[in-house]
Amino acid sequence: MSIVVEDYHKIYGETVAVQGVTFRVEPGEVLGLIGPNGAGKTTTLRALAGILTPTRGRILVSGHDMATDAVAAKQALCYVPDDPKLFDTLTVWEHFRFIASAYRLDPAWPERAEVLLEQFELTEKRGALASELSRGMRQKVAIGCGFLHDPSAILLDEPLTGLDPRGIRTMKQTVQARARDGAAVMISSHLLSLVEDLCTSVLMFHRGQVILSGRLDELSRKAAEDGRSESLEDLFLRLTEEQKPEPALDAEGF
Amino acid sequence: MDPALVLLLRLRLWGWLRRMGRKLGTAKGLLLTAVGLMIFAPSILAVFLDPKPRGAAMQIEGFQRFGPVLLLVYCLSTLLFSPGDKAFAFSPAEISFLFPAPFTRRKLLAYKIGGNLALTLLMGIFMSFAFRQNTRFWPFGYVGLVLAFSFLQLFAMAVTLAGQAIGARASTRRRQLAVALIVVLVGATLVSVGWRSLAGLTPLEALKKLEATPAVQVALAPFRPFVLAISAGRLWPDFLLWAFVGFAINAALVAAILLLDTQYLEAAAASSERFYAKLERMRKGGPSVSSRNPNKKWKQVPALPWWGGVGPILWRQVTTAYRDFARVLVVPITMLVLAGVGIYVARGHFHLPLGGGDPDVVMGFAGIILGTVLVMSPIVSFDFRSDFERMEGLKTLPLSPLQVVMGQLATPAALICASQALAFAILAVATWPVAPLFWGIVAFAIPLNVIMLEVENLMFLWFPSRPMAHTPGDVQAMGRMMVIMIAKMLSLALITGVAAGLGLLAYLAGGWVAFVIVAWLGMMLSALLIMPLLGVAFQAFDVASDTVS
Repeated sequence: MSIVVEDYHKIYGETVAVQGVTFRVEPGEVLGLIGPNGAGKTTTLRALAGILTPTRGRILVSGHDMATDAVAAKQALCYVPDDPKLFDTLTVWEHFRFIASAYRLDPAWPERAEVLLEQFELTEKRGALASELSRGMRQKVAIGCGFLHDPSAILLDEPLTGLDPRGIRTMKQTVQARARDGAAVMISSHLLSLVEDLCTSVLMFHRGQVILSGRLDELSRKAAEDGRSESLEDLFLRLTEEQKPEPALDAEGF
Repeated sequence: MDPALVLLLRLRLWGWLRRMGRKLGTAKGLLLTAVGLMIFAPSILAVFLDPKPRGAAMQIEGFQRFGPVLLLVYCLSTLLFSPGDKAFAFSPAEISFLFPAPFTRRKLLAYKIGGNLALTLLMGIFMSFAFRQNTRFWPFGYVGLVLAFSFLQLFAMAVTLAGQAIGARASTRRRQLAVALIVVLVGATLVSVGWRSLAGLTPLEALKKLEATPAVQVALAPFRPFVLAISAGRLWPDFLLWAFVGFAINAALVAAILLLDTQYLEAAAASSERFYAKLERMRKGGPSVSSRNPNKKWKQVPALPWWGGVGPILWRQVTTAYRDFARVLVVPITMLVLAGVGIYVARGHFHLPLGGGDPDVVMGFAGIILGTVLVMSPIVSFDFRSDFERMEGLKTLPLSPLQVVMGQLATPAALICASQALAFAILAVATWPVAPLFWGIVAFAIPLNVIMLEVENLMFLWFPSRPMAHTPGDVQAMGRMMVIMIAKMLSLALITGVAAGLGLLAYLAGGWVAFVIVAWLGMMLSALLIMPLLGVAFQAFDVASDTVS
């Protein structure tokens, strides 16, 4: 299994951002992380990427514990944040060059980089400085860099922001292809249609807790069995609105 | 250091040089570089023509004596005021690319130290020109400064990591309290022991005596090698010996930092996010402070009347200023301090009853308070200067350019004028009676403040720029600052010169009163005439321009 999260808690001072989250993403699976703003999706992804330290719980990426074997875990993953920042004074190609060096890629990496540039329509921009690129272009560069080392665990936070229609299609196709090749993929997004299109399973967060998890096809089947015909959007709104307004969770309360 | 991180440093250095080179390819870039280099040309030439400056022995002696004290004070302030994670301000790109990448924390620390050293090597060149009078031989001064600045950076990093190693983030306040307590205890002991021997001495004499005590000498010992290396006169033993000791101290700090290797990534990411969010807010012109609590209820400023279209614009800027109160407060506090110093110098004491004092000194300080607009103007930039990213919005408002201009300028003008009025009033009451010319100086406050703000905004609208972090050694940025400053000063000199010229003609006919009245009218007229010019500049402002200064 590629991604395992057990009893993950994240507490900031007196605020509980994520509380007791447990899930796993198998190779070939595309898991959609959905939930209202501030539900704990990005906090979870950042912990998986090794940026945040869990207050409690365990995170494994490709069998490597993020707490004790972070370098090996990070070698296997790619994390693209919701607003990736590039090095302003470096060209597109120099970003790839650095990533190749950081992940100790074999000498054949330029060929793979060329393919990625082609896929994301960046070939003509290879010599452009990051500061000269549009928001969408920068997003494409960050995704391309993330895919260069063929990660077995892919974490994407709002990956379609700023992409043009062709970029969106390429992104979807690439994610599906990577999953078919055995990568475990997690996508956090507010675009529920994207999640329905692309993901095989879903994890719904609300106030730091998982309120729904399962395979999308099974959720649809169960809804049909219950005599309901509801989209993921309907389900999302029903479940998040069903939750009674509660005071913010605090560290003492958990 | 990891080879990939070395490659990144190399690529970034090359990228910086490439960008400088590209800018040099344009006429504007070439001109700004030339102006920037002109600032340092005399210092650079002096280094080659006179590598061993003479006649600065006294200054060097003072530097050797008090330089270590300054370093000690800096380090103590780092211990006292360090927020715990400030030394690790990684850029957003570094967080995006390096934190999820397969690097150990130690490798990232080594990268940070290496990057800081590269910047220090560059910054040291310019600092060595500024410190030239404290050195006997420029190369020694340069190396000594690089070692000293590296020491300060490494010390701050070591403090941060040590703080985090002992449970830092939660105990930052306790740590600061502990250090403050130690400082108070040490200070109290020193005072109680040495009070009698220091009694009757001037502050400078007392400081010299205190500095000569064995306890202070021991406290200053780790800082002395850097100062002695900077001011060394001979290669051996002076420079090589002290530079080696300084290098060894830095190496020990590097070893300590790498050994500490605490879990700093999360704190660094959070700290960097706060820092860059603050930079972004400043860039957009919002308040430089913000609450970390998203649910904070901000106090409201009551809506202002329409006032011919000026009211809504004024209300927005007043609200911004109100929510950035700490920044605004600097202005009246500075004025009040100046008034206090003026009263003390004019009267020789603060004792009651009020009144009396040297009228010339009072007038001098009134002039200084009047001139503070030159320094205070950038602090209260609640006008076009902080609205770079909102110019589109301002242009779409159903208001005439003149209405927008008046609304934009009213807040900073009112803030400076009110602060000055308070300081003038206190100065006058405490030293009553004041000379009639004092009121002449007071009268010029309004036109001078308005003109200064108009010129600042005019320069901004003609040569738009927004604040960004500069790399040390960016001569083009320095050149740009220089050109704009010269333009501002020339504009101000021209306007005040014309007003003074008119006043002089009136003086010949009717004396000082006529001079003040005519010059004041001339200044007010100029202030009014620049308003439409600002309106034209606002209308002509190209929102597509995206200039980073």
